[in-house]
Amino acid sequence: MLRPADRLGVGAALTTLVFLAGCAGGASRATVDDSQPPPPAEPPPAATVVQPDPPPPDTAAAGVPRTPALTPGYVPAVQIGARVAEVRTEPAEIVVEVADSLAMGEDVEMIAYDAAGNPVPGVRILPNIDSRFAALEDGHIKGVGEGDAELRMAIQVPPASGTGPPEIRTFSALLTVVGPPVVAVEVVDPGVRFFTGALVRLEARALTRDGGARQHVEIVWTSDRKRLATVDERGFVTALRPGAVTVTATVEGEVTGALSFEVEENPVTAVEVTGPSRARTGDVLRYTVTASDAGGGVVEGAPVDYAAASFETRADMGASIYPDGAFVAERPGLYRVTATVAGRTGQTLVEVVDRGMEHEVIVTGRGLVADRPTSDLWAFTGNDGRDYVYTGTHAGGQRMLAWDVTDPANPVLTDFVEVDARVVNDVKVNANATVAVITREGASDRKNGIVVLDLADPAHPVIADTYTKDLSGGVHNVFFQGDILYAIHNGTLDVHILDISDPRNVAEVGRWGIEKPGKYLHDIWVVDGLAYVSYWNDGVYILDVGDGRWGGLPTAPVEVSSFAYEEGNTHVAFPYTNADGHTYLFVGDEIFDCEDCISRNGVPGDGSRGFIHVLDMADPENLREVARYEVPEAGAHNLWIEDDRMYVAYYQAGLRVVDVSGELRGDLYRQGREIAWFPTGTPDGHVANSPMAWGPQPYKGHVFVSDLNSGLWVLRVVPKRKVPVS
Amino acid sequence: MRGFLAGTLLGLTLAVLPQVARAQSTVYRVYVANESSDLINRVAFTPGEGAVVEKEIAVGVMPGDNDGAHGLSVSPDGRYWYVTIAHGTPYGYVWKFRAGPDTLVARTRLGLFPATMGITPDGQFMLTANFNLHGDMVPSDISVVYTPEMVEITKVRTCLMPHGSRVRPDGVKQYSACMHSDQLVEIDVGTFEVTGRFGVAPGHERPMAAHGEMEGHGGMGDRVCSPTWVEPGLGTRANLVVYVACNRNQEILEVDTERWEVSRRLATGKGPYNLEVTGDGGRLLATLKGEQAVAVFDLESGREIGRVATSRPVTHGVVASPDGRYAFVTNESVGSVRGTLDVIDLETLEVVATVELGHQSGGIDFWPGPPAPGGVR
Repeated sequence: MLRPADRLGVGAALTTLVFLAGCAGGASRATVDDSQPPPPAEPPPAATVVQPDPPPPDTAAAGVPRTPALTPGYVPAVQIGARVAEVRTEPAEIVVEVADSLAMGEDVEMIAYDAAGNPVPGVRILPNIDSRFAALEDGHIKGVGEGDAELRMAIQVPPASGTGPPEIRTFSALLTVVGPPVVAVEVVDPGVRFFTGALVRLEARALTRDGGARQHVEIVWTSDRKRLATVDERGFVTALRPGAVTVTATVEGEVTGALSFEVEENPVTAVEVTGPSRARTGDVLRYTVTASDAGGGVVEGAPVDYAAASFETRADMGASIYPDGAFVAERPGLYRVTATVAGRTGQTLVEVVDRGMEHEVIVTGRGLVADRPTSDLWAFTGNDGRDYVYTGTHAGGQRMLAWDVTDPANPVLTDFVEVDARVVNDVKVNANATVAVITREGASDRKNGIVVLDLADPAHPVIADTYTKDLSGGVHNVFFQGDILYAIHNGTLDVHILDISDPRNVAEVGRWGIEKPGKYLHDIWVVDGLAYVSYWNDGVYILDVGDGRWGGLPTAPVEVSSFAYEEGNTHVAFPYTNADGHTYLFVGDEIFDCEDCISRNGVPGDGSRGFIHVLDMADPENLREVARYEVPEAGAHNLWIEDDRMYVAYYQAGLRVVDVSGELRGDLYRQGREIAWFPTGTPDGHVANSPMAWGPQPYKGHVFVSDLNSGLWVLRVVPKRKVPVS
Repeated sequence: MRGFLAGTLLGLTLAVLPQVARAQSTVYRVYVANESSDLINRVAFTPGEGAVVEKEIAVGVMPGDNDGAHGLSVSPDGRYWYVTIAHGTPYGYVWKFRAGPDTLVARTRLGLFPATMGITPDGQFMLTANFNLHGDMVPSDISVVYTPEMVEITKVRTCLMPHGSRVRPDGVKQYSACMHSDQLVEIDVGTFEVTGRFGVAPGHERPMAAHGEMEGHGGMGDRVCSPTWVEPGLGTRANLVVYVACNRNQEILEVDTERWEVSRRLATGKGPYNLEVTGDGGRLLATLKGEQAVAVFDLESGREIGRVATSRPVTHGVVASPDGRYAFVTNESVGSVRGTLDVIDLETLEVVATVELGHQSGGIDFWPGPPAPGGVR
């Protein structure tokens, strides 16, 4: 068989055949179309220069003879591509359900058209999907999650210049992934009366056959008696005249739900607002709104609209009031709180002062780690009665370090455990302080898994066992619950449940994970029989692992609920009930991929982003995001909460200490709930003067913080001292 | 400017007079990916003077996790280099850098654990093996990226744990090895379809249906090839044979891709891992991951003519200088001990330079230097 090089008479020199890669057509070996003219004698450059020429290095390079590229002919499949003006799909808009699929060529066809709109046969069209919502596998489009995606279709065409290798042209079609069919619509009763003149917002839940509620669904609202009450496309009802009205919510054209109510003549003649007149920034205030009629009687069930206004002239108003009447201010100042009931208003004033909780952080002691990056930590009291902190190491780390911190001012490195790994990301100690587990990633044999340590002498832990079975992909995090260890496996991206009652004979006893392509698992935390599993873009999952209310067992988790949010990158979750009885789940995301995060075109990136989402967990089955804590210029990492204080290792922003007492709403950072911070950088660190706080743990009055670039810090948070002015 | 002119003139001189390239002023450069440091090293080697790391380029986005810089390839025209960011969340990426200033040009999301890349000689297409080595074993893909726009245009499903993606010299076919399927798979670069499949299980080497079984081993029993690399022949064997590293069976198979049969077997030491054929097609270099060594074969005789011990264990990648004079070899090492690059003189078969790099040094490619003005090398 004549090889292409021979046909062109240019031998087998590597770069003489640069164009042929793209020219090969059909299923046979690539050939050059004989009908095409021969290559010109003086060819242009082979590659299209898309970037400016780089400057040469400062020394001479080893020269490599380069042969200029030749101009090819193009095989028919490529030539045909020149006629293509557009590639469309049939149907034009592709809709697939989550967990369902469409067959390419059957359910979805890709068709090339010329400029006149005529189909062009014989064009090779390559489909591809790059999306978290859909995937292309085995010739099928698969729905992964609700959202819009793009079906990309590529064809090969001769280059515009007529010479050089073929080029790729891409076209795209919209691909919409929808949730399972809606089988019922529930219009939620707002629990108020519809007085003439009132504006009341209705909400509808589109219920699917599995009992869930579709998030992304178009709802069409209609009123059966528009003369009495209208409803807009967002579900806002305006009550106009007395009488019976039914408002209907329709989903997907045929599934409906309705709410019937009576519009009443507005009896309200006066509105009184009573409540706190003085507060601190960040305090969530509740006001009592009393609507009364002409006779002075109290009108029950009145629909109330709230508003807050500042008397300041700055652009930033400084306070918010939510539909449920919760008021919270970010800035000190005087605010007017207004309640409106069907056109009647009442108001009150509230003076907000600075939260005034400023504290400072004092360095009690340090455990400098300058020869390698430091990862997570765990503080505990050993069986010898002394206090210890174990720290992991990262990026070529290989070790777990044991620190005696009985004297917090003088952490003493008592020993280390060395394993075959490049990342010892996590370290956890069981409740009895008899066993520790460290995780392995980057093992030279790529087997990874976990290493179990015997803590008979906590100053000098020794390896009891190395467990790698089905954990070769690396373990990123672990958590103990009694003799059960939950291990986050980078390979299966499932939680592997290990029985560690015999530290020298670890055994897998269960496994749990979501069934979603593209899932990514990062962390687990277990408190009082509930596990909180951070599943990156799929959000946080709450599992019953012994609580029992949902039938879960430590070895057989039962899903309680999940919560995903737009930012994704769910990295860590920590539940907490504060002194006022509010139960929240604090969820941190870790965003690396933002525009400002990475270096490009010579401009250094400034690291990660992300913040703490505060979810109301009063009902674990119905999580609601109510607040956030976000340092704008940095990225959240691990956190710990104790005594109504949240400690966040905020990577390049160091340690952050946040007051999480009382009810939480809105932006905690802007409200001044951050009471202290400390930059954990140091000139003698692994990376000098570069805070990269990894994890905090309050323990016995101190806050232990591990920092990627500087090691272990022992800190104390104290009220800010008054500096006398002389 | 003076340096620019000097470099340009010298580059042109070298292009015209290749023999002059062996002058003492010649500097050989390679880029190396360090998987556990998320760091790229550019190393310059000057014969008689030694090797130095002349630049470190940080890659990856995750300060708290390893992104995993794994495979590294330089575009045929030397303008760009590419590194696969393998670990992903869960999908990995390929990053494209402008060679020389080493600034990021583009990032493209690929599949699960993108590892090695094969680039067509025109530089237009990059075919990357999505190794997907962790978790349940399921068939994985070769990602096809159109490099001018850095867009993934398709994925070609091949087998379990594809690795060692390479495009043969004429740019017509791409090959990859399937570590867990014990197969060699051929993709037509014109159609981006699988056109050949060859079982490499010891004793059961045979052609298989191109669109046949992706998962199963080609052989039986405990003996497996576990191929980690496939390297096309050059010189007189260009576009005719490929070499397959049987990592577990301690041998290299020369597979005739015209006849789809094993034409020769080359016994190796423990764990042959990456392969390289010198530019003239005369020698085959194989890293021996399990022996901390590089085996050098004469491809005329099929004999191993030397085995060179490397400086640190877990010997990983190898690339030869285009003039065939030197081999550049990466050693991952273990744990917190940094990896190294060894330079082997292919005439004396001795290590003539060693330089310490980042952690888990692996993917490597030769950089011939920047292109001359005007875009023609």
